[in-house]
Amino acid sequence: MSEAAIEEYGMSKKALRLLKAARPLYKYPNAVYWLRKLLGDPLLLKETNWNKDYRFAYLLTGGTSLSPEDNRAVGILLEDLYQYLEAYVNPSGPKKPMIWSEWNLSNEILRVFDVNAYIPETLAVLGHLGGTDAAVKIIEEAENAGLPPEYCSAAKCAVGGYLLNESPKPDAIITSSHPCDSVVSSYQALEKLTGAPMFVMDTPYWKDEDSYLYYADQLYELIGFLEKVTGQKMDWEKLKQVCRTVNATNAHLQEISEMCRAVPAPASSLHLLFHWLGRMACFGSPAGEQYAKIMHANAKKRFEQGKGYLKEEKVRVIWYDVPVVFEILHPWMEKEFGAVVVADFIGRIEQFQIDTSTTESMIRDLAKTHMSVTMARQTHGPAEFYTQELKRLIEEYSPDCFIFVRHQGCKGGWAAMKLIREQCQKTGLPALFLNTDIFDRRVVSSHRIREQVTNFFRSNNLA
Amino acid sequence: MSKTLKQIQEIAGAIKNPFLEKAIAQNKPVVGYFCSYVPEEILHAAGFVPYRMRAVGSTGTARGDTYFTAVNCSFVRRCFDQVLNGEYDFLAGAVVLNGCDHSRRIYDNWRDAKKSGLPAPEHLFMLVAPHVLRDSALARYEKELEKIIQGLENACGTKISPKALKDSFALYQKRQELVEKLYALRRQDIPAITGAEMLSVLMAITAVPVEDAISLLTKLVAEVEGRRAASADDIRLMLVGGCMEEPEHIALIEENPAVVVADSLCYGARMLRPPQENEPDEPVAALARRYLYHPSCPRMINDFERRKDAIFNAFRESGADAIIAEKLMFCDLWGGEIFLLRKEAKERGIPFLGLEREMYGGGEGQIRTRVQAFIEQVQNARARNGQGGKKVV
Amino acid sequence: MIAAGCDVGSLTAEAVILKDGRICASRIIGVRATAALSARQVMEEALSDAGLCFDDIDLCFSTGYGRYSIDFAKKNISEISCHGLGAFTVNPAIRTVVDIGGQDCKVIAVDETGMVSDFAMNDKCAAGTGRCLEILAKALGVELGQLGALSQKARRPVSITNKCSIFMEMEVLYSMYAGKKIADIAFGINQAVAKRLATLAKGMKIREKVAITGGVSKNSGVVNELEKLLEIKFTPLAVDPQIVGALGAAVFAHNELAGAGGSQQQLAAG
Repeated sequence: MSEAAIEEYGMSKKALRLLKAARPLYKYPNAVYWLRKLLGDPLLLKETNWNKDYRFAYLLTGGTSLSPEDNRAVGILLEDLYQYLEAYVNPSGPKKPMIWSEWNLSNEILRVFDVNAYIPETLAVLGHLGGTDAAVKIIEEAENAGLPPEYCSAAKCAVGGYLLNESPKPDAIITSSHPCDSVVSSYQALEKLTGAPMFVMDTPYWKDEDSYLYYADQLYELIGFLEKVTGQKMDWEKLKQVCRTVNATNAHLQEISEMCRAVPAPASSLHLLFHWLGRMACFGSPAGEQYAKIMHANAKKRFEQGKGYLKEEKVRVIWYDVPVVFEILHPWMEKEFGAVVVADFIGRIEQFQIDTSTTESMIRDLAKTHMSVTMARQTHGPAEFYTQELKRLIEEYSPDCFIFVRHQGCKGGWAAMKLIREQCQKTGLPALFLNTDIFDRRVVSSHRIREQVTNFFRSNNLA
Repeated sequence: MSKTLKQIQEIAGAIKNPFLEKAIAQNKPVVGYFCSYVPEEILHAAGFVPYRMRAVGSTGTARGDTYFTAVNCSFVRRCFDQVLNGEYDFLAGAVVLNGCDHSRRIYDNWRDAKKSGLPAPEHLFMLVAPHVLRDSALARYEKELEKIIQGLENACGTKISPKALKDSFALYQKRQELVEKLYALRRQDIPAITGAEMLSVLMAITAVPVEDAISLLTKLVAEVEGRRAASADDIRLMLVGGCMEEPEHIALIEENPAVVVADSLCYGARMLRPPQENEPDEPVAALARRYLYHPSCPRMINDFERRKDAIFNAFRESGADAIIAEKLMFCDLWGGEIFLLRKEAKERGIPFLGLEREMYGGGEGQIRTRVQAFIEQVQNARARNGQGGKKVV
Repeated sequence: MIAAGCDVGSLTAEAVILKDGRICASRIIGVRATAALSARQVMEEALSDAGLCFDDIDLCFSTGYGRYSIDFAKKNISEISCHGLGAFTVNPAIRTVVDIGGQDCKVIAVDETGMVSDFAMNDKCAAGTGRCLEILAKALGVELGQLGALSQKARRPVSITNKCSIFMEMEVLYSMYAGKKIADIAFGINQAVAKRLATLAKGMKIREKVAITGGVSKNSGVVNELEKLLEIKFTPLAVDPQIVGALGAAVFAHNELAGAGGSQQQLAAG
């Protein structure tokens, strides 16, 4: 076990130390930009003993890729993340209820209550701060305890993190039946292990008004559950405010997603993946909106000037299914091959605006947004939710190739592989199907992944 | 061996059987279904012969793997392989359920196969069952059943009358009563029927028209009453798990001085529903309640406590000595369930063995070794606790 | 009273003969084309060493994966029970047995009479077994028996992280192409196998004293790593650890002859 993870909240404390050091720097985004340029490439190369504590954080926040303007936005997001971690690592003031929320849920309602929210899958990301082997140890803890190895590694990190005292004890848990069986199963284990009461959103299979209403009804039940466990009352005015913040954030992020259709793309999915850090810190925060606003403004400026995010955009990639988190490839791909991910599965936003004029319309539209959160919208129903979105991306984003990550935990994705592959084959464009795991480096090594990507680009004359 | 039991084993050992073929020859359309959350009564009331889908007779997954992958469940791959091989050409329709990430894709892949001119029935339905037990979920499930009823009515060209539903309820209730009689015979000090035989029975009765199932069961109950299918020294086992359709696998377990006297399996006790209400004013609502609240599997997220209680109650009532819990490879749901059940069993001092395998996947040597060692362990514990019976030697 | 035990596994076959409760002969051979052939040959050799023949055997039990094919065995018993009783017979203080065989690995808990009270076995595949070591040693270009000694010379151990033997083999090859030292790779191989077994063991309560049996017990690299991971020290056995399974089978046979019903068989020295 790495030193950082022996103590309680070891990984989170490490993250806090890094954030504490990084926060003042991000007040000077130009300095951050030049510092990265100086440090740059060695940290992009393979993980070593001397760089492993920082490499992941470095790559997660964009490597050498981000412009000073974008760094300013990331700095704001990191503040939010800092507060999120501080809330349970160094709590101050009166004790607040600790509510766990499954990572693929949207947490506007939680933000309204005076609670601390925690996403158990946080460890799947933060666990890499001690190097990829630190994350493996968290995963192994879950496997050693008897959890099935074939679970998604995010689920194993959630359980392993709890068993290793990396996660704060919950007073209640909220989960759902999407995106997959790993969540359905692992949260039953977490409920039992923690003894905390749990509320489950039963995600409908279809996308129609009836389904949205069913989900909306459950949101009312969720509110009732939260009122009961927290002893607090729902503040509808505050929820309206949060929803307006969410609307603004989503509008900005969605427009960034849309702008990436331009050639050259004024942004990349890397910009949008960052906001997932914000999701860990409770979606709907003013900082999240500010981040989105700045990123949007930067991207729009480049778009209006006909400039690409990369100086020389050589390859446009559609990246489908999840990113590889233990080896964040985007900065390396951009630098090495001029390859920008113009559309992807997780970062890209397709959202509804929430009508806050009445409580009913607000809750109904919240239901719609919940079911449209990335990963939820593609996985909660039939394979068409995957393939039709992919078809649209192909038509709209002028790709040169596809990279499809076959995350070993994603059984529903694997079971639709033929249908997805056919979408790619129809275009005649090259497609790389990477067999790997999103968080667990034991399945396929970083070296092997880079080798496959390199061979793919070279053998298809993309590099 | 009982004549009817032999007949049942033959039915269970193949996809088609004489009863089914007779029904087909009489132009009775057959509708396949997956999972115990699909109400057979509705299919029957619509004039179809409900047929529970299986992978029996599967010799490989070559065709199934053109859609599914090595990381998907062997039941789904093999069953779909049988579909693509044309083994299910007799189906007029099929109802798929969102049981799990693997099985729900059967609906997607089968529709695609159909577009490509591969074997597929005329009518394909998707029934969505909730993952929770709650009033709102029940109402939702009822709406989904109404959709299926609508679809079936369109398919068969007639409306399902309340009388037809009531008649179907009565028939399936009768079938269940007979199955419950057999379960009672399993619980006897000397079981009258083995676990392997019981699995054959449940597979057979879901592959034939319900009227024939009732006839077979009635004969079988009469023939096995008084039978001694095991010995007093046999270790009494409860088998818990998901998809299992290989009686030979249970026979392998029962090769040891052991007999399976209780279960919680897909083809097993989880098929037994709470009694249908008499004279229901709203038959579909009553059916929805009955099916949603039947013994659940780990796809139901907020039902572990009830499920666990049902398992350990059945364990106690059957006088079982130990539990063997099984999962197929890549099954997240049962993997998590076994993790939880193992803890519960340990707290209760119940010997517990977890097994993992592929359906029709071989590996008998490994399974034999594990099961034999487990039985030896249980025998030792019995002898230590002065419960009589032999130790290993 | 001549009792015999025969253990036919995937890589080796062993036979042990007890005369009035004392080991009078034991043999280990590499497996032949069939389990039956392996059993017959190893037993013949053991009998020959003891100056006996098949007719002299009063009772023989079999164990191992090939146990069903041994026609001269009256009964077969799982290798879990046999390894447990065999180790206990050699040293009645043993309460846990760790066995890494050709195609599986197991952790066995025994009670104060040497009977199995709990066990865990690998479920997935060859990773963590003798077969895995064989594949990786071959990839490394060394003899299986050299892996242990080689790993003692490691200075900058290589970490082999993949869970599957096939991909572990690829990792070994990559390491070699990258110019890593053979000793460092050997250490990584042994560590990977030890880790697999340690994972298995963590699901059980390990009670002292702990013995290690099976062919891989002769690999000092795996043994040392296991001791570190499990935070224990293995208690050496006074017999070749590879014959423990066959010994256990022989003891079971002896106990049935003696009518002891499985009570402890105190092994006489020699």
